[in-house]
Amino acid sequence: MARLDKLWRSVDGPGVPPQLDSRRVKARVNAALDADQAERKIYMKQKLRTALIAVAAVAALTGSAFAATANWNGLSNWFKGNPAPVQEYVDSTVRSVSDENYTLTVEGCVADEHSAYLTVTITALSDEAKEFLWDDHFIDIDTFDVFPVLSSGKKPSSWTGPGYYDLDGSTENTRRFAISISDFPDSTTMLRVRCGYMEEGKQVEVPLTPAPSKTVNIGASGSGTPSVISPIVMDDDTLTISKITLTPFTCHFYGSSSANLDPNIRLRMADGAILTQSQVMDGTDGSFNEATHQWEYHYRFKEIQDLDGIASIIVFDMEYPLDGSKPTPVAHDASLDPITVTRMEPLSERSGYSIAVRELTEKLGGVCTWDPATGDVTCVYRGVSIVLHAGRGTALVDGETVELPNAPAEQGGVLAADWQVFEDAWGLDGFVQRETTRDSKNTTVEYFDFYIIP
Amino acid sequence: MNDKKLAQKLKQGSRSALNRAMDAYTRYLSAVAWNAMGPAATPEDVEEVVSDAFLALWSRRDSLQPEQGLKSWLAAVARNKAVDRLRAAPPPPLPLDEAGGAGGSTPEDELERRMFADALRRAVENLPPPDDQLVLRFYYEDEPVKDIARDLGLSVTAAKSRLCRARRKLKEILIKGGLADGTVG
Repeated sequence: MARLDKLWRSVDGPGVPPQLDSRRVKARVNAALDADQAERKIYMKQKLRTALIAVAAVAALTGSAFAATANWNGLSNWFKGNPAPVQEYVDSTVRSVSDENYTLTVEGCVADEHSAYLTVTITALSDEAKEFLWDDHFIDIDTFDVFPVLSSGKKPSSWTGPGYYDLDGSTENTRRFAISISDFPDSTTMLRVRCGYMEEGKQVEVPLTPAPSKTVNIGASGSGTPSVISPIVMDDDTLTISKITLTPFTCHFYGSSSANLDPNIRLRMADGAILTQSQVMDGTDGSFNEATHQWEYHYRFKEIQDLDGIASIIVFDMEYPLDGSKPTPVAHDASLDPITVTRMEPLSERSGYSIAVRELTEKLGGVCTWDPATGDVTCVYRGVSIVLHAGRGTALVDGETVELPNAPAEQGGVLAADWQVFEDAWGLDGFVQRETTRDSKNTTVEYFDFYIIP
Repeated sequence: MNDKKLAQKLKQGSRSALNRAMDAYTRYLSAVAWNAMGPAATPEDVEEVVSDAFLALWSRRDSLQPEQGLKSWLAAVARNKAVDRLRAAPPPPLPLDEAGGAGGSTPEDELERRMFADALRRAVENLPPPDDQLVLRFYYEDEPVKDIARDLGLSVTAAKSRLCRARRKLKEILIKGGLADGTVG
């Protein structure tokens, strides 16, 4: 479906949007050009060449679908850590479908009740298809479609489209991708996977065996944190959470927010340690569930979680045990509250704002020391040390060398560094707060300090 | 095939490159033309303008500069052709338009669709930046999301997330204006 059609449908436009069919335009233009005999000769020569390529491609067809079994290790494309807790839910069946241009192969899949992770290979079967496989335009939002099929046989009213990225192991005529899809309803029994450049109806069906989950009812409101999408929060903005579901792959919460707020969830592990949302979860996808009239937000864990290793969920200063026992108040831990840190100038023309290193470390409750003999600046937080040196394009994170996008630099007596190294090493979330104002002529974006969520 | 390659092949006289260009840019140019001509323009008007733009592309292929791509060139030509067409034969006021729409729809349906399209386009143009550019370039101009995200300084994930929210915002705006759910207010 064309993008404008999708937009039209999403805003409940009447019928279909007024737009042209490119086939009609092509027919009209080609008819006008073919009326000229000199033009026609060139065109027919080219058509013949295309037809010969198509015949060769059809001869190379290997059949419509087949299945085989192999070991699949695609979990590492999306998660760090030990896959053992979910190994029994991995589907390593290889499934394929072909048309005259491409073969689409799903090498394996693993899922929970709302998200799935797949490895997909596209193999080009003709020269033209091979050329397009590596064309800049091959990767687009419609390159892959993954449709959830519900137990009722129907398609859900909405779900977040697939996210994907290129994997190693591609060849001249084969391209491999890691694909994830999230926010599908828990009654999903199967995914239909198709490549947008293949014939309609050519799709691979992947039945799902979801990994187990645990749900706790929350039914409470409170303050949330701003997000990069909605970076400024007003005092009266609130977040309501009705329930939270944890799976080995995701934290899924149901509720509503007046300003796209993120929750500030913490997990108490079975060993007593408390891990914050920034430490264990990545960014979010959200969608509105028309059946329940609730927003559903979906956070992927950075590492696969063993649910038996999580004792409770802490949110709005209440602790909700996963075993279903009664929630209890928990003392507010101010050391985990968000902080703001001075925004420093970009370290190169193409980079974003940098951050004040000592201020960040000390406001988080860490320790920052400068060695005058070596010029090294060592920052320690959450037991992880980061060693920086002005003018050097690498850092040492717990002794291991890490490339930096830009070398740290002194700005007015303050060491400034790119934010990413702290985000990755210390498990933080953060962004530069900004406010956009617009009048009839101009748009102005005002940038403020970094907002850091420990 | 990217824009630069398409332009190079066009310069070499490739008709399949012209067909690829028509596949790639018909929707974009129809949006450009409709925007220039207003909701009263009929599909036939727009088809003629867009076809003329592609015929101009073919006839002027020798002077193309591949490194500048095709998109902005085609958009400028389509806009000029639309203005020429308006000057030569301005479309009649909407209520008098008897042209049926896609799928054998009635003139009333067609009127409703075109008014909705006009309201949607205006709502998109009034979104706060960068969402206005994001939605226009993604939904109306069929640009790859990674290119738009790069130009707007967003990650691809953030761009997709903003697109999702912008769709909801547009629906809210159109509902407030009495236009969503297919009801022209």
